Amino acid sequence: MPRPDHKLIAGLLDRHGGALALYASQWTSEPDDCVQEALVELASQRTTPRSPVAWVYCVVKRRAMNAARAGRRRRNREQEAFRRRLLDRQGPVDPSSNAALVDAVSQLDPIHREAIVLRLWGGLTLAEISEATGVATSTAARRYEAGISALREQWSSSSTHSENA
Amino acid sequence: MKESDEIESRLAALRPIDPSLDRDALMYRAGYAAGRTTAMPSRVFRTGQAAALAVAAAATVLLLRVPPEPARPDPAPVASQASIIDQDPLARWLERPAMTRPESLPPEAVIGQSSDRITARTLLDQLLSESITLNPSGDKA
Repeated sequence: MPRPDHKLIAGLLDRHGGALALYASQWTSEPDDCVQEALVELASQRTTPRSPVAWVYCVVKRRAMNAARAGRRRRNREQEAFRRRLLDRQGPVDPSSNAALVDAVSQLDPIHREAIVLRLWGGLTLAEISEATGVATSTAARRYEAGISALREQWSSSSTHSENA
Repeated sequence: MKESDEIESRLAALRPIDPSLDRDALMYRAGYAAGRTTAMPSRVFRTGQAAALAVAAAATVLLLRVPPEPARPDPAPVASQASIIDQDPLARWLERPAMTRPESLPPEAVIGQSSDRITARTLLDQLLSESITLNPSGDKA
């Protein structure tokens, strides 16, 4: 495999920058630094990893967790950073319902939320998720499904509440 | 299932904000890191160098710690052929000139000391008697 070139680095930044920062924000309140350091680390590799996308997500996670350990971040701050990253740029859906959905995602079990972030916003395949998180593909699929199920339950209960109100 | 799809589509519609990174600075740092890695020897090469140094150091230490070989005792003196001839009467007799007279044969007592050569003594007697008989110019013929 050739060395990672500047096109690969720039492409990863363009296509996955937001998702990488969102991914890192699960553990640290300074996700941008983690993304930057991970991309620089990729550039210093002698050979391109088999799956550069999964590799970068894996390194971002490691750096984010190290940063969190070093800074003793609080979980609330991380959840807030995660929410802001998704809500500051509004989608086509109603902002208020988005906020409720993002709240639900931010309160998910971390391993379920991790799989959802990688799949939905990172656009990774299940194989890439398994490589990035270091688990079997079946485990990655199970985590993703479990996260979606938990969101569906919360969504159903919140919809019932809003209808009753 | 439909609800799950709806949730997934709603979540996927959200777009996380881009990281606030200085793109040029990032690309510069990436290029610098790549160039630095190229200039440095590979990890395998450095590991090989370290291993070679370790082996050389271990060999030197072993060389210095090997004790000198202890002095061997002098081998037991080997009896010279002359002394053997002096001590063994039969050997002394055999060293005499080849053509001998019957009376020069060693006495039985001497032969008896070399019991394993009795047969040789008998054969020698026969040969000598025959040679004396067949030699017309001999003194005894």
